[in-house]
Amino acid sequence: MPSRPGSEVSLTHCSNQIAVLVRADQAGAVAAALGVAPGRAVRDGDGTLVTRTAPDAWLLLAPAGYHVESITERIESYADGDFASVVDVTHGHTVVRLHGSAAASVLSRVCAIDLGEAATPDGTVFGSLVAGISATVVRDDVDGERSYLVRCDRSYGRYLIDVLADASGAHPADRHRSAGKEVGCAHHTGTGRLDPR
Amino acid sequence: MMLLSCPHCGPRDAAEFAYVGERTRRPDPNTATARQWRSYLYLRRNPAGWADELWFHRTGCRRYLAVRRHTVTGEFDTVHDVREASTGGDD
Ligand SMILES: [Zn+2]
Repeated sequence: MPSRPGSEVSLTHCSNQIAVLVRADQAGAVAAALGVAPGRAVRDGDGTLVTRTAPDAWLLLAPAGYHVESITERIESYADGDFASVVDVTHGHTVVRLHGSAAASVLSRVCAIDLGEAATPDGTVFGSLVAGISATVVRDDVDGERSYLVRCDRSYGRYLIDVLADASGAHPADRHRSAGKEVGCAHHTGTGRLDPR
Repeated sequence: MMLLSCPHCGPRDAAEFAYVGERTRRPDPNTATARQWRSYLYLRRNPAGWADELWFHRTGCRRYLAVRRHTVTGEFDTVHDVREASTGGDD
C-alpha cells in the first residue's frame, strides 16, 4: 500500500535500548558533571542520550548492548562524595520511536503538550500524559527529520504501541497480527503495515 | 480543565497531578501532646477560600509542590517546589 507523500510516519519498537535512571542532588557534583539543563536531552560522544527529566532525575538511553557498568562507573567518577543512585530500568519499560514528517501531528492526537518548534524544539524532554498514561517524551530528530522517543512502563507498552499505531493510521488487522511480538522492533509507514523487523 | 503551572514543567492539566492534601506541619513527635498529634493526623481547616495545599506532579517532574489554591474558584495563586517553599502549612 503506498503511503501518502508529505505525511509519512513510522513507528519503531526500540525497547532494547539500554535505559538507566540516575537520581542525584540537583545542585551536586553529579548534576554539574552531567551538565544537562532540566527539560533538555543531549546525545554524548558514544551515542548515549542523556535526558534530564526533572531537576534531580536523569534518564540515560544508550544503544542496545551498551554496558550498564560503564554508565555506573561514569556516574561514580562524577560523584566525588555526592550521593547518587543509578538504576538499570531497561527491562521495566517500553520505548518506541515515532519518526517522520507527520510525527508531531500523530503525537498531538494523544498528548496535550505544545509540540511546536518554539515550545519543544529538538533536544527537549518532558513527562506528561500520552493517551492517558504517564510517559516520557524525548524529541530526538534524525537527520533533520522530526522524531520522538516515547517511553512508558512496560505493562502499558502494548497499549502505547496500539494507540500510536492507531493514531498514525496503521491498518488494525496488520497491527493485531504482529501485536504478539513483545521484544524487538515493529515498523510501519503511514497507511502501510506494521511489520516485525 | 484546570491548569496548574508547574515551576519545572510549565502549565499542565491538573489531571497530571495528584492532590495530596492540605499542607500541615508535623509537630516534633518527642514533645507533641496527644492533642497536637491528633490535630496533625486528623484535623484539617478545609476553608472555603485560599488554602495551602500539597500536590504531586505524578506524570511530570515527580516533585511535590506547595500550592496556594482558592477552593471555591479553583484559582491557583503560587506554586513552588517544596524544596524552595520556605513557609506555608498551618500548624
Ligand atoms: Zn512538574
